[in-house]
Amino acid sequence: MKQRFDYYWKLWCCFLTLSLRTAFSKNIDGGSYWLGKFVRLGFFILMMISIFHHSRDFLGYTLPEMVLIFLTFNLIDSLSQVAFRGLYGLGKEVNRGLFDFILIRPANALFLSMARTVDILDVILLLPIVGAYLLLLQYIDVTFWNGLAFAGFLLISIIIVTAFHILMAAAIILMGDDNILMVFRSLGRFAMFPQETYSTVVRYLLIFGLPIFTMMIFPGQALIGKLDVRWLLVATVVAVVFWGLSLVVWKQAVQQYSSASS
Amino acid sequence: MSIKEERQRKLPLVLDRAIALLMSFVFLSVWSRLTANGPVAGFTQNEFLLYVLLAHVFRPLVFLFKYRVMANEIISGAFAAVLTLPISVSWYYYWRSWGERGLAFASACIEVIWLKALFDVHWMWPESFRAALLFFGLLMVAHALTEIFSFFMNTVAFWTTQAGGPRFLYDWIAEFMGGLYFPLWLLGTTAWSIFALMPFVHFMYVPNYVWLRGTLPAPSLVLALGVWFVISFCLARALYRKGLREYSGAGL
Repeated sequence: MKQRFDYYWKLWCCFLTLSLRTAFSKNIDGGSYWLGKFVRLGFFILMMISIFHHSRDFLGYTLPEMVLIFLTFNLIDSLSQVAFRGLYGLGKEVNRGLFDFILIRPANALFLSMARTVDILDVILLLPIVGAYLLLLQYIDVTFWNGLAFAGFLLISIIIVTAFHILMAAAIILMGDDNILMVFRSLGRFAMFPQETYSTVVRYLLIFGLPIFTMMIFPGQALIGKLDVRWLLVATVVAVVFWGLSLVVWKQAVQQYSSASS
Repeated sequence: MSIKEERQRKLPLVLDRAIALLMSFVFLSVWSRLTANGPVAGFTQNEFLLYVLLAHVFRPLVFLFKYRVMANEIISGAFAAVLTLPISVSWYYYWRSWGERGLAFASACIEVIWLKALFDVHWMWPESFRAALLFFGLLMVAHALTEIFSFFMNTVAFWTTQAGGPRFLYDWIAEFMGGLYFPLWLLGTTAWSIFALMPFVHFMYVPNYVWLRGTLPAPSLVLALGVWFVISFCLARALYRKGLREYSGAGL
């Protein structure tokens, strides 16, 4: 087990080095993309500040709490970009039949598909996100138990976000188009705002059906003490079911892959 | 031909529309909650929601650019073939964009009926003929201005193969400062005074404001619009000419 872990860890470090070299060979592109992501982050925070110019609270949330929810969404989103950037471009490879070359390599095809590229820009973006997170904690009363619940929900988030990407890898192989990733990221934007923003039907759908809220809102809500700790049990069940489902779908997708003629 | 090309890529088109629809749904939910207890910043719930619907419908006319094709073709060298065509380069790329634009606009018009019903939005037309005329004029100017800026951004490809990054940065700034994601009347005085100096406010916010209120958010914006139009047109033209002189034809 340890040997396998070491093997994949070394492989990931190789991918990281290659991604770093690529990023530094394209200064203009890299700088602009990073700045674009940073500007997006800043503008959304400006939007929230603007809302609070006219309103004392938003559905019972204060400005720091709302920004914290938004930053949690960004944290999970950036982590997924760091870990699973390899999926972008998989659609083209499937269409050209190049996915064959992934299948014959001496490593797990799913790992290679998802982790062969590391988004360095999002690694750098994590710094201001974590910085802003720490800054916000000065304005929010966080207890030890809330912190512990946050850690638990974050762990569950990582499991769900991985399962989501496995499902998307399967969808890309079946459809030959990686635009599905953009749909997932757009769905993720529901989690920029507190879950109370949406109707009950949407909330339940995004907690149990497509667990976007379980993945992206729950950790932040737990940290500010606006989520009952019993939800941890629900989130665990959702994560386990979703994880199992994603692996089954992935296996089916690979079995149906018909090489260059697909 | 452009429409046929777009119809061939049905799945990306459907997914693009799904993304736009999801974003509008998010903002309709946010503004309906924010304004549930009465007007905010002097605007009613219906005005907030109608703003999102207007942005949803008119986004393909203003923010949908096919000009990134131009940058790609400059880099690949395919642009050399475009130069030999008996049509102006800018018009060539402009009309090519209409396949994507037209289908997205038609789809948005249908989607908005569903969104309107879902959020119970009372559709209001501009309050007078004069307001409708002003809206239409401003929308055309916004359309032209975004095309010029887009053309300008693509000329970057004459000097570097890394034209995607600057384009990404520009798109986010233009969409945010243009008021695509939130009505700029929410901004505080300082932020608004900075935004008002930029050309982007004319892309989406100013036309939508005119639709809702019948007047401009500030009369001085007309002067700023004129200045930006002249500056951007001259700059895009000068950069294009300079880039063309340095273009080797074989790509970078």
